[in-house]
Amino acid sequence: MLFFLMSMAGLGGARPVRPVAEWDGFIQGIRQGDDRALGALYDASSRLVYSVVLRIVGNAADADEVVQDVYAQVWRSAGDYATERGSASAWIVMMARSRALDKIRSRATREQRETQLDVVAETHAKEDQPEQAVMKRQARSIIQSAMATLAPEQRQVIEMSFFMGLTHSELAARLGQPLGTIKTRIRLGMNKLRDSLAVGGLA
Amino acid sequence: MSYELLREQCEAYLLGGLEGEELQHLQSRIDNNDPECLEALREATELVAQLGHAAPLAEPPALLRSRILNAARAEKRTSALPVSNWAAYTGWAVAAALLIATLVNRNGLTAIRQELAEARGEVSRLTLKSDQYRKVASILMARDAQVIRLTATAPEAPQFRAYWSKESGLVLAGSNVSAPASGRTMQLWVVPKTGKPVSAGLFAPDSTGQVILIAENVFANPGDAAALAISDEPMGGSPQPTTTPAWVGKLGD
Repeated sequence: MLFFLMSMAGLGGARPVRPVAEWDGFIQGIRQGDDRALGALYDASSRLVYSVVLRIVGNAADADEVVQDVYAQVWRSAGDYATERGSASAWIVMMARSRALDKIRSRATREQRETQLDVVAETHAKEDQPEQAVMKRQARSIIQSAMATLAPEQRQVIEMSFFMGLTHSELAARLGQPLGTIKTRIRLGMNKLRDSLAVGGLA
Repeated sequence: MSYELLREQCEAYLLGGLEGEELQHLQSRIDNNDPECLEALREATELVAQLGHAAPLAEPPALLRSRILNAARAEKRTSALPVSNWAAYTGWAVAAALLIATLVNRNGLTAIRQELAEARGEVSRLTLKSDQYRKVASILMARDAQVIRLTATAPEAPQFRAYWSKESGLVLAGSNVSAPASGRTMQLWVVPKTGKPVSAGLFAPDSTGQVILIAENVFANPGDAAALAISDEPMGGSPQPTTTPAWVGKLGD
């Protein structure tokens, strides 16, 4: 009757972080109520999701809660996912970002978050299978290389937009720059990023 | 507006940067399922989502996976329970039965009353089961839930597992558990770091050998407990263990 309580599977290996059709298959399984598909999706995506969420919320306790909410939402709303709107990986990452930003917006002060962001330490992932580890490193390397090609001021505003959820006006106020300058930096930076990722095969 | 400009606006929209008229205009096109806009939004989503890979790599806690999967399974089972349908059905059944009761003789009325009592009993059982599932789900989903594995002292005996949340309570689960001898019961104990064991409830496996015991408010703080233990006790339980615990699980293991 309650046998499910006794099944505690171990952590599975990670999957490549680039958008893959495999994730779409997991979503299909989840739509049919297959919790094994949810487990497979978790194994493939959790490190990316957790990394994004932790970077935004800044502490492990909130990150745990948000990540749990993200997969609960995936479980409940997989039927709403439409492949024509984008890849499953993009859907999940954007959902994770949105949930994490909701979390920090519900906090009393942003100052607390900024302090915490400074002390988030990078932790090393459990070892992947060799080929998966290579693909993962390549994907991360391509993204980080692409980010490195941006001018520092472009990278700054893009990262602040993505990880802090600040509007153009808020960025302008925060950085003491004209609104037009902020918009231009983001636009040029994103264009450059798109070109770099296209060369790297990730966009 | 060129497609490239539209795509750039979509990127700004996804990043949360778009404001004012620009935001209203784009939102309107999205809401109206403008095909060009949706394609630009799709492309923009793929690019913006890639920014997530710029986050420092972090490893999720080991227990998070099982917590998520167990919550999903519990939710699936809870939602499969037809409690609300049963309740609605019973309401109609009661009304129909009262109507019929005015039309039948005394013997017929007695039979209908008996069936109604049985139906009410079934609804009560289903409601109880649903509440139990919901409680289990809340414990499993609790952020502070910890897992305690209770290992048998006898070989070949099944393992129990407990999930304990300071906020939500304690649930003990087991499968393939043999029934206690006649006149005996199984008793769960919380063993504090100092002091005597505290009873957390009596239980026996169901006909399939499954055990589920929900114990609430057994201890103010799981951090004050050293272990959980299960012993075989006389029917009705004991104030303190009278036999050597057959299963023990240390907290923090």
